[in-house]
Amino acid sequence: MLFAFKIAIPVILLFICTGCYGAKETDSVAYVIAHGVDKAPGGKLTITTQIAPPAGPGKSEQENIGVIDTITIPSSGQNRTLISSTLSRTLNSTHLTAIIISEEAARAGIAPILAFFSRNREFRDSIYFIVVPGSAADYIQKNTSRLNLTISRLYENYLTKKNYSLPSTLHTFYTSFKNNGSSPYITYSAVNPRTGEDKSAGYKTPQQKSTPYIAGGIPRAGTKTAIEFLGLAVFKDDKMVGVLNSEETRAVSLLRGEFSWGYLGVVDPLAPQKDFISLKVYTYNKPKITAYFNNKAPVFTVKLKLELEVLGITSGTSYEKPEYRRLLETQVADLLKEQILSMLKHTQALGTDPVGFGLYLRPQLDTTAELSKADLTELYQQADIQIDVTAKMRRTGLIWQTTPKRNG
Amino acid sequence: MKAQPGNMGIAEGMSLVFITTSSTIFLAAWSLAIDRTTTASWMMPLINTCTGLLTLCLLLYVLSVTSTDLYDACQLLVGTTATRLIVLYYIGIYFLDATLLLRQFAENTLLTALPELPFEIAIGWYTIIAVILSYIGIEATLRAGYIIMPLIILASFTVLTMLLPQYEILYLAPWRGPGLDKVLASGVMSSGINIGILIPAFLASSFQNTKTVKYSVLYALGLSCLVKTATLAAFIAAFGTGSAREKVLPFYELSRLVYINRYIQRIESLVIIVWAVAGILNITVLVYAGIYLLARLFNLPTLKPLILPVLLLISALAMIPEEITSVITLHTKLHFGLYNIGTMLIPFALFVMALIHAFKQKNSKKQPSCQ
Amino acid sequence: MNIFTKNFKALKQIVLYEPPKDPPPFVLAEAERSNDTPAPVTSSLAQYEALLRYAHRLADTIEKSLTALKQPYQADKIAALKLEIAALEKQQDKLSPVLETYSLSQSPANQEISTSMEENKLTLEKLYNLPDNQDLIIRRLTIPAQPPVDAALVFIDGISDKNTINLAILQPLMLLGKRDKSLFQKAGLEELLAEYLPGNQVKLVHTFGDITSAINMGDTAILFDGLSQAALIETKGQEHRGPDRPTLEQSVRGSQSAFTETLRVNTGLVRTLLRTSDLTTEMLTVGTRSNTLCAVMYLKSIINPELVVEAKRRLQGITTDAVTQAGMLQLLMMDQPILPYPQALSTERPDRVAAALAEGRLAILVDGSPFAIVAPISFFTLLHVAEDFSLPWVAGSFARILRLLGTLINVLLPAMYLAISYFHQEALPTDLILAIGAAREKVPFPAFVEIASMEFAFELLREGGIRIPGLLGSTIGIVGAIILGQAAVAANIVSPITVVIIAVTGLASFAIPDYSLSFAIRLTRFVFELLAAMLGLIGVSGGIITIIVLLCSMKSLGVPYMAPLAPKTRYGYDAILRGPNAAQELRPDELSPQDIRRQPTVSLRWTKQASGKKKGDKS
Repeated sequence: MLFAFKIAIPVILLFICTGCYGAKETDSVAYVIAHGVDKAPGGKLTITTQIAPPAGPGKSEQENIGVIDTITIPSSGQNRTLISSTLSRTLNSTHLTAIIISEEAARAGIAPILAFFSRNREFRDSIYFIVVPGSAADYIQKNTSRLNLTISRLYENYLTKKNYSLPSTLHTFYTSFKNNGSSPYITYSAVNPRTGEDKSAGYKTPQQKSTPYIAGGIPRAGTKTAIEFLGLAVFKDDKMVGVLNSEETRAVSLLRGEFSWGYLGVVDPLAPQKDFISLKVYTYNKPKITAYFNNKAPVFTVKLKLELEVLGITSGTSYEKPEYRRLLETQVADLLKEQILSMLKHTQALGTDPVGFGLYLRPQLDTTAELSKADLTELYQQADIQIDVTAKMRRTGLIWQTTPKRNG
Repeated sequence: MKAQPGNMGIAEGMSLVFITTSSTIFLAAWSLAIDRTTTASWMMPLINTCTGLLTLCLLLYVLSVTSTDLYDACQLLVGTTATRLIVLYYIGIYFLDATLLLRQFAENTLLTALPELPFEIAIGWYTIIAVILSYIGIEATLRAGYIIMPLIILASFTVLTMLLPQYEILYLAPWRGPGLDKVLASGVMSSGINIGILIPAFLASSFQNTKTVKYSVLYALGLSCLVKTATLAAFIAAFGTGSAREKVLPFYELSRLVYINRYIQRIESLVIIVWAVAGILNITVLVYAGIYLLARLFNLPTLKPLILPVLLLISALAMIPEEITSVITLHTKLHFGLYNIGTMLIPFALFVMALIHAFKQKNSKKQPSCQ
Repeated sequence: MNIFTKNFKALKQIVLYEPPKDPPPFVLAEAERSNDTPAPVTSSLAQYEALLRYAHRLADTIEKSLTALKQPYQADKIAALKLEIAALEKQQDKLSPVLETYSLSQSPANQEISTSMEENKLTLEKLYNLPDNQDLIIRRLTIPAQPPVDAALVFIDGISDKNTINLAILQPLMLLGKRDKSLFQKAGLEELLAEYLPGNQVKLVHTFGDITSAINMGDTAILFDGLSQAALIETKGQEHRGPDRPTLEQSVRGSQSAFTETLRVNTGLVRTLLRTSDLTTEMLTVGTRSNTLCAVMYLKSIINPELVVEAKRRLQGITTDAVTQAGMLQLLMMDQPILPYPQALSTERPDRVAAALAEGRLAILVDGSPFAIVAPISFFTLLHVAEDFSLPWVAGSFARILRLLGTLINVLLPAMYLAISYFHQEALPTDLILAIGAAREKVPFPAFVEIASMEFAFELLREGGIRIPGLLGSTIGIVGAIILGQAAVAANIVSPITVVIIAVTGLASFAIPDYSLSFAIRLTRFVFELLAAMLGLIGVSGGIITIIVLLCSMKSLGVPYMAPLAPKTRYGYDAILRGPNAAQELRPDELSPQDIRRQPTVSLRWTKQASGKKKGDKS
């Protein structure tokens, strides 16, 4: 009896004391899926909150969007209080998937936003950041999922691709923002007007068949999904300074070692006017970047090895044969080298280092005292960068040699 | 020997030392270490493990000369008054450490798991568990610790492995941090973090022999050094020193970062179990060691009646600090300061006394043979 | 009779109602407890009665001697009279007031056998409450010896073998008269036993205690008039069922026989698997009223002798009135009786007992119970099944890991669900937490009530399923579970996810091979659910560490419960995982057996020998 009391009293006490502190029934919680951040006049922010439909994914797109609320407030923290006064449920941000920042807000600097999101445990490091031209609220409204049931899955699926866009999370942004060596960047996305208008952006190398774009510029019409991810918003400290186009983004991806494979169209080296070759490009290994100081001026050498697989040759030239293969390989290597150099020129001019060349300078420094004195991004701007791209054709698909017309 | 804690072997000793020396990876201590030695912080556990091994050698010599446990050895070497002072000091730091750990683990509970829980209840919960474990006894607790130790190691290395895509090894550069001399100095100063290695020496009579003490401390220090170094290096590589020094909870942040794909992520809640268990065990072991010494000091026949009052006092003490930052800084200051008396100064002094004692004994043995 | 008188009579009957004169219903009177010893009056009364009986006998003898003396001299008759008088003298010695009072104050079981048949009969009648109790049979007979001797056969109907009594006792005794034998000569009784009683176990006893304990086992006692000794003849022969198939511990590849209710059959079953002189069976009785026979079995050259001493000490130290089941005895012997975790293995399989004995454990078999208690054990033993060893070691290890996982799921799954859905919503993938939320949208109860009610329903089904008779049981259980779950979901009382979780947990609980472990685990689960609802994963982790420490502190017959894991001992490749049979070279170290080595390092000697050809074969 005494023993039973001894056990029972703490248990009862615990039950009384803890009871329901923080316990939330599933029907009293609302999960935030996405936040939109827009700049509002008077230094305020307009925060858009997208909440997952509580009854689960419905059949129509409208049901899947869930609840969208837009509030203009001076700080992000106050948003939670205000929005909870409009909702019967408690907001829970642990399943927040993406934070969409308008380009205007990003150019003004996102440190105030970061300061809030990086401290609270509900905001996870894996939240995706997306920069959009125009209004973030509008972007969230127009982003209806077509192939995916839930919005969060849509973002997550989009942002695993590392080709023409690079994913950027709270963690990657925050660490490169806080540490010396690389500059932060954010995925660039936009709503396409779907008029079929071709808005190509930026420089196109002679070897290149395709045109570089940034999000919102793809000539498309009729498709239902309005959003597209293309390009990279680059930052100097917390302020956005420019947008890299699709080809430059791929160059960043290649140099960061995040690119694994992608498609590439090059001009046929023997018939540059009308023919072209489609290829699949793989990275052989991560690019080898070495850095050293040449009289205080940093020198970087980059060695990039790629593998190619032929997808289609329009001219009928047998590029599979050794004598032609070299030609094609050089063509691809030159193309990518040109693109990389163009990206480097662009970013050096903008004063941002999305690849993280500055990181390779860190081992060259002796102590952290030197590190904190040195501005690695500035050093990158002055750097001499030597690029060496080699491409090897590994496979030719199902055809091992191309026969010219009427040859059999 | 009146208050006999039980029979222990290498396994129990290992879990004792491992748990007391490695549970700091779940706390803010390493953010503060990064504050001091920046990119080279991962060397600090290596260095303080070396000093810990040195302390172990000194203690083993003392124990082998006197062939008793540390308490009796003290009594033999430095006399009763000094022994009482020394033991009081150890009791003090064990209770103090337990208090600070209790507060920090309770605060971590609020930070990571139950944000709306009043922290008194979190402290109360840990205290209740610690009381129950102490009542069951150190032997069973350490045996349980031996079961849990591999799980802690496994969990930490799983987290570290799953983070492989997130590492930027270059964040560890410049390799020398603020300069190797500074790193070495800080590393040696941080050896206060290993106060747990003295507990097996105090409990030596419960261990089979000195060899058991030796190997349990050796293995456990090695393992805990491995875990600490790897975690710290991974922490810096994942966050960079700029971001890492801001964090209150290194290990929690690391586990939050795991993102392999849409399905393998969000594991931090499961890691909560690991650190909560490690924290409870650590608090229990420290409190038990303190109470054991208290019982020795006052020659008490049993230590069970002391458990509840002492833990209640400790929980009340833990609630005193007004904010967590002061607790974190105080704990680090103790690691780098006061605890060092216990991990370095006293063992060294005892070692010197033991040398003298051995010398005297040799002489006294020689003299009769001369006559 | 007019209508007025009729009404008057009816009215009178109602007003002057008298209840029918039935006896009052039986109500058990509350006993008035007092510590009084039996009144001394009765004892002195018994004393006088005994004296009176003695006087009668004396008078008879005197009369007999008178007639004998009147007749011409007959040596044998005089000798018989002499013996009779000697017996009378012996009886008189006993009747001295001091001795008589002493022996009457003793329980009748400690009384010595009297030389007087009448006295003995009376004692037996008193012991067995005879006119009321119809079980005890006292068969009077006269042994045709020289002189004839009155004797009585005493046995209990139903537990003794009538054929044996008829053929091996009655027949030889009654045909004895052909010979010229005197029973009252020195060693006459021994001779009788040696020559005339073909029973396989025969012995002589002196007290009623011995007689009753033998009779209670089914033996037959023979009392002789004039002798203060009785002969016991083994005639055990109660009805029992033969070894059947195991019901709880079924196996696909293991042996198909299980223990029965008869102790000797059970010890025999074990011995058929361990045919060695080393196997020792010690017999003890437990229970002051039930006098249950227990057998302690062990291999003498392997087991640590301290374990045997301790087990016997505990068995002999049990003072309870009745032990009717092995499980009961197991609980009476346990180190930590409060904790629900079984600290000994209860098995119905002789092969498991044999394997355990060979490892250096001991087994306790209880008469009337088809379960053997094996101790000491570790927690992991409870997760083993007999046929682990018939499977290749990879498969055996897989099965063991599966069972361990089942145990973990059983303890933790509902608690984890509660903790995560209440406190740690971030722990699940977004789609899953949204799906759970959507499924629970229409349920009006908190998740804890949902889980608790489903657990309750499941426990009811489990408990009720045992009682539903025979073949219907399992069917009704399954149908009940499906229909109940389905209906509860359709009625929005519980969400489908809760049903899934409770069903998986229930399934996992059947993966635990030991019934009482499964019970303990379930109880632990309920505690964990409570902790999870209160403090989320922090509560669960507190529970986990407490339960691990508790398990580590437990002992089974003095051997740590979590061995060989904690404390760590030399690993014989047979705990959590199972090594190849040939690699299990050592017995469990935690048992400290006298001989730790089970088999040599190279146990498969054939792998080192040349195959086929003999040495010296040249072709």
